Amino acid sequence: MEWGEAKQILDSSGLVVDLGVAAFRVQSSIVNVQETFLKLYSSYELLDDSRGADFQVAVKRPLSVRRWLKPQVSFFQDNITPFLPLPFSQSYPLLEWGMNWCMASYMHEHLLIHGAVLERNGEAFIFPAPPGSGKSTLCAFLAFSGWRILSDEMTVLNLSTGEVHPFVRPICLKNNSINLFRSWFPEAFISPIAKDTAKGDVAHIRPPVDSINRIRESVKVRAVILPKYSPDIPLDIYSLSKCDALQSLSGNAFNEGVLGLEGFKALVRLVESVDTVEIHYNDLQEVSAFLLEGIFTP
Amino acid sequence: MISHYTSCLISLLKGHIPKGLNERDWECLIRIARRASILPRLASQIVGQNYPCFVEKHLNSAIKQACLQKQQVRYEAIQLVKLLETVSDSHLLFLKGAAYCLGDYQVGIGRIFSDIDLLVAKNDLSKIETKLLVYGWFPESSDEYDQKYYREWAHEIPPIRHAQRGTLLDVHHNLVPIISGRAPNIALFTEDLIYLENGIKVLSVHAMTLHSAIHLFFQEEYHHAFRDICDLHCMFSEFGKTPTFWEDIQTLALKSGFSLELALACRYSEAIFNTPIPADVLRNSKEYLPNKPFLLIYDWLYLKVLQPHHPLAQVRFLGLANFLALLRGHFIKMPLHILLLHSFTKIYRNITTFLFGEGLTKKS
Repeated sequence: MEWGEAKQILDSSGLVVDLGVAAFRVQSSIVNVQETFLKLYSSYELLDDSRGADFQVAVKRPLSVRRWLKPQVSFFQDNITPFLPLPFSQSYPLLEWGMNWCMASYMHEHLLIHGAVLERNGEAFIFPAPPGSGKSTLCAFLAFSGWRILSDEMTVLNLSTGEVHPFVRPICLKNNSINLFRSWFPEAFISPIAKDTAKGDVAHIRPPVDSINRIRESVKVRAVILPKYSPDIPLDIYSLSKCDALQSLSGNAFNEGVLGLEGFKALVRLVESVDTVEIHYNDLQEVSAFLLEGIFTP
Repeated sequence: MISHYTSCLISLLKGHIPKGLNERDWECLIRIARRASILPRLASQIVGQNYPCFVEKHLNSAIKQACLQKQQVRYEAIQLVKLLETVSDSHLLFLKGAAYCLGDYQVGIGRIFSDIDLLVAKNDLSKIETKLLVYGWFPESSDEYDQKYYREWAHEIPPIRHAQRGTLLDVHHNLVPIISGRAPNIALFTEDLIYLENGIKVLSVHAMTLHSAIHLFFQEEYHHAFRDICDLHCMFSEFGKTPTFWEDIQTLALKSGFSLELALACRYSEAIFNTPIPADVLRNSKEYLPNKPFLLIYDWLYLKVLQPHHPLAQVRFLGLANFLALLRGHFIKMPLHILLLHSFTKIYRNITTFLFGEGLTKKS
């Protein structure tokens, strides 16, 4: 399908984008959303309209008097709006967040964990972490430094094989990291900045094409790395007990509750079969070098 | 009258995959089923059969979610029985979705619900409420008017929620609002209960089925009506095989004054799902149905509102049918003067809240 045509389909029935573990039918008539979406997703495979999509998402302006005073925007999954409307300027991030919400709410085929996954030499590293740990910045840096990104936000763990599936999406950067990233990788595409969101200023980066082309290649996990950004420490490495690793994965899991015993067992098997460490860092080069060295046990 | 996608869903709910469905059809059917709260039930009927690859993810996910809920309701039920058996001198039993799951009935397979319904004796109510409050079950709304509405006119106390687990609980002392003038002598329903393990009790299957019918035809909003009529289809099909079921349910309906609701349930379950209902039961129930012109209106209305309400299901004139059902629902629940008073109060309170904020109607 041509991308010129794509804009028109975004307006009407919605564009079906294949993201590997799920296909999304995306609809929006908001011009800014269309432009950003088409740029960020330009390298993904589009599916024919006759193909079934897993989720139908849209961002629309609600029909209220407010649209003339202080315009807002609502996220739709099918015909429901799971969240309250946001200011119009946050339309694009709302779409991305809504897409994550769909996965966390309905996709219980795999265990979903809030955390980034990167791969090098056929080995995957999981970085489970809540917002503020510096995981997205680390992730964006590695993704543009020869690593393959599987996800910056959502780790998709296969319950039977124990491997991780890619769920490659635009990388979400916040506040200072946006300019920092721009200075490191001026050639990367960064979306316009949405200001004053719940997470501060937010922008999305188009992931490297190689990562997108390999969205069907699942990877064996090598290690779970618990990252903590510390402004004063270039790189400190701490051992992380299996128990603590399990807890940090479990605490960041979206659907462990739904999966019950199956989910718990998958996590136990994961931490028992991989290395687990905690890092405190401010130097991303150092982190990269440490990961490549591959020595995680004292 | 039945739209194309509704017929497909009916067929799927019976475990048959209609011929000629393409991927787009499946996508639409999953969307409609999810919104109608029947995806887990549908999934458990067809899982393992032949469908496009992407469908499987959604079927399995829905089944997992329903399994989790079943586990949760069992846990809550055991806790509630332990907590309340000491303060309840009379019956204490589970109703509707919770009962279907706890009793492991066919209708409980993949049945999802948003709250747990409990039936207790009216005399035990205040002791039960106090005990629940002490153990972390708090009222959802502290609005004075809402409290008054429930206390004086309803058949239940205002919904309460567990502070930690978030479980929503509806405690009933009757099956329909007292103000409707149709609240039955509850002993008719509770004289013959089913005892499950862990001290959990539910209504006998004929009383459970009749309650389902009463509940369906006493509501004002029919968002989940397709799921509800499907519940009735499942119950009629499973319990109807027991020799005494039909006699018991007809007798109870007659004694408690709900023969119309039973007649409507049989009529529409048969019309929509082709439920095996004995000919003599259908014949007997004719007597309780409205006369011909009214019956035509009822059929027009209910055959619409009992279908899924998703726009993709394309039920024509659904808006009008919903509005009429809403009117009927209100009229049978409240006498006209109370209804007008209630509507006026609600509108007045909404307008003042809109204009001046919450201060006027709520004590600070």
